[in-house]
Amino acid sequence: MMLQKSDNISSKYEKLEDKELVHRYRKNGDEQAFRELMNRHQAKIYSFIYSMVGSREVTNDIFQETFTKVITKMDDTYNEQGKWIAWVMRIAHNATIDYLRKQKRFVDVSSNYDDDSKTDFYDRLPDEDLVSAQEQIEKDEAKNSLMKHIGELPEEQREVVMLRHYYEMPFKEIAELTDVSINTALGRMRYALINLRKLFEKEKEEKGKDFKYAE
Amino acid sequence: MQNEEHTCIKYLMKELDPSEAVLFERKMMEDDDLLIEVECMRKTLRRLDNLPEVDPPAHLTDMIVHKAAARKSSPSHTIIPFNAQQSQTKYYAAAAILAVGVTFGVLSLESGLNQEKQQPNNSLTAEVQTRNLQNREAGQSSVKPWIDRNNVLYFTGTSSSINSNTSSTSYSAYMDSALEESLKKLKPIDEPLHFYNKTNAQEFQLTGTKN
Repeated sequence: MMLQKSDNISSKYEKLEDKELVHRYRKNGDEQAFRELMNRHQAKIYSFIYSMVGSREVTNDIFQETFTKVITKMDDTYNEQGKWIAWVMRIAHNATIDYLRKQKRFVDVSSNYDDDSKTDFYDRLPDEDLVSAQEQIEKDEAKNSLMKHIGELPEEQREVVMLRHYYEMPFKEIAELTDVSINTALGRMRYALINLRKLFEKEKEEKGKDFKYAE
Repeated sequence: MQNEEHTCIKYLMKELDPSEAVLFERKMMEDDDLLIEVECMRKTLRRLDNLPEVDPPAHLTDMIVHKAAARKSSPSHTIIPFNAQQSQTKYYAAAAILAVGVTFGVLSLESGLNQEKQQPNNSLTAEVQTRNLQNREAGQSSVKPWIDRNNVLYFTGTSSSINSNTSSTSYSAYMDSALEESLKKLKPIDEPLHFYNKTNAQEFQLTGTKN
């Protein structure tokens, strides 16, 4: 288990809401407050970027770019009335989309993974001592195929799924962030689920065929 | 139909109002196809719960936190990505070159205008000085006599040699010399009756009143 959370964050900070932490950082330059904010949200932001670009190196760059903007613009641009994470997510989303547009190609997440990223990816997951090795393998396979299929979705559909999953973002906000109507965002989510279902069924059929041939 | 599809997603995502959700559930009970579709989507959606969260590398988060702390410790310090720094340097260089160019142009223009202004001034000054000099030279002996219609000879003039301190003797001497000089300038008429001797000439007489 490789959780990056810093041990020296006091429980006092853990109890504070985002809004209060942001206020402390802005007003007093409280480093611990900023670290706590990072610890709370870094995994979701990083995972979102990673799911969109599929490369750890690029993810690191975009993640760093995102937080550099967060640090420099926090005093000027961020309005404390709004959710801090939504604001950060908007920056991360824009940075990710900018990168994808610059690439001018459809990013197939599954094919863009670094060679060691799949094992690295799962090395970071929490250990589950109580789960048997067989169950763990099955879980890993399920996650592996899930990531692969999500990588096969069109970019717009994948974007909506990830924003919804990692940020539990309401469709109204997703629509605003992606600059489409709510109905379009809902439609993209629906097609994403339909496509994923098809991909899972196809995979199931292929596994069934392989099992038959093996017999 | 499209509304129903969107409502289906909203229902799964729990974005419907309670009353709307109840209505949609009633509808599902009446429509088996809708029920099957919703359940299939729910099943697919559950799979997404297995999506893992990935933490960024520790050195990256530490670096960001340190940047944030540094930013707050020196408010004037701005963290700029390397690429942005390069582009900003280019902008500064371009701005500096532009500023130098504009300054040089303005200075050149101003100096040109000054030269233009100074030249006429100089020539004018020179001309005035020349005239003054001529006047001074002429003033010493420029006595121009004239005769009015009553044949009275007038002469007048100024001289730098005459001032308030000049004695009456030297003044009268000066006046005599001026008179003499003026008389020398009078030229005798060679043909005094030339005009009147013409055959077709008619006599005329200028008249006037003293009023």
